[in-house]
Amino acid sequence: MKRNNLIILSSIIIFLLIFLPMFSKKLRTHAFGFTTGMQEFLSSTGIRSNRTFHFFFAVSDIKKQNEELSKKITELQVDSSKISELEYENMLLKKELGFAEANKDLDMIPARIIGRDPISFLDYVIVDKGKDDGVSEKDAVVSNGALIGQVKEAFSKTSKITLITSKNSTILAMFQNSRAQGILRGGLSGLVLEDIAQDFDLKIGSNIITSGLEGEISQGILIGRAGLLKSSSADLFKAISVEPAVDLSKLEVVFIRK
Amino acid sequence: MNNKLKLVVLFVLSFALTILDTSFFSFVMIKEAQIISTYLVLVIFAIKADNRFFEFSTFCAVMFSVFSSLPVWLILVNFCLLPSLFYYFRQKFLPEPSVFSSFLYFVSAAFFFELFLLIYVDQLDAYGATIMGSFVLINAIAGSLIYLLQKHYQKLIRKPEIKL
Repeated sequence: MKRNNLIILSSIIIFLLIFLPMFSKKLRTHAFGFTTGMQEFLSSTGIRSNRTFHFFFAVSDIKKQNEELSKKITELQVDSSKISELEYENMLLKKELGFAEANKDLDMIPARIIGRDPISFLDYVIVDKGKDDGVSEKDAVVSNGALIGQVKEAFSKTSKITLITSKNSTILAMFQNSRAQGILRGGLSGLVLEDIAQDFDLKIGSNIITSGLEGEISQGILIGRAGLLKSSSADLFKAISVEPAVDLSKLEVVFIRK
Repeated sequence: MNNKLKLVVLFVLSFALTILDTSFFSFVMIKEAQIISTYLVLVIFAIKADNRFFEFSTFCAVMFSVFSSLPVWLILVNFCLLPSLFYYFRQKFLPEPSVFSSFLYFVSAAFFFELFLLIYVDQLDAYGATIMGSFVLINAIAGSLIYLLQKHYQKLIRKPEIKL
């Protein structure tokens, strides 16, 4: 290795270690602002390529999925009629009690995903809305009504979102029915709801919702459904895997909840 | 091409590759693995023992520090230290890499890159191993293809010079 090269390399390493964390926010704001257009074009091309690529591999599964979905539609139609009745009943009760509509004043900012972290399994996405559009850090991000992440950094025109499946994501969540609370952690092998008290009976398939205890994310946003129990009876707390309500690998448009 | 212009070209190349990884390859997932084009081109610089390798490695590290959420230490390991080792091995032990040996370079480069990532995300288990397998395979194939294409076009460019 030439002496010159060593000097260049070591000086850059020192620069990175000392100065980059100090200026990273400003640098990222400019970098993401400058590249928004390019990222939009490339991400839409990437999404289209991904769809075409997966179509060829998915044909055999489509028939099976179609049958399952038809069955589900029938079940949902039955559920839907029940829900309509319950909604009507709920509305009447709310009126009587003088409650305001819970979600009426919620501001939703629609945003398009224009990039992901270059290391995709870190589960960070970049959206085309930032501080200029009213986005602020720690806002909840939803898709199809289900929580998919939280704003990590808000730049002027773009924002970086930590998906719930990220290793660095922790969200306070609970079972919708039993109200058993726990901490939802992400990871490469999936979502896990941990630290649930042993005295709760956990049902597979139950809805997992946000508990709202951390303040930034309001209560009652659907996260997913409870899967398999991950802990043994000898453990101090229970842990259960969670199936996200939304397929996070196919996200294109999301909503940032104010 | 003078030195300053070469540096500008390298800077633009590292920038373009990082944007490509952020906005294109991160959406094209194959068996939960993606192509990291920046790293592959960096390995090609190491295999070729290019005298601009260290500058390019530095630019890539800076770009990833800006556009990625990886910690700086991991960027330095994966984009400076690891490729430098390959550069060293290439210079010491393998003066003329064949197609097969370059493929082995890409396999080992992708393996160690992913290994450090899996250590960082604390996923050294069976699931991590499956991700590692697909990542190594996809990136080794992609890297070898880019390397062969680069070699092919380099020959095409050099041919007229020889005739003259």
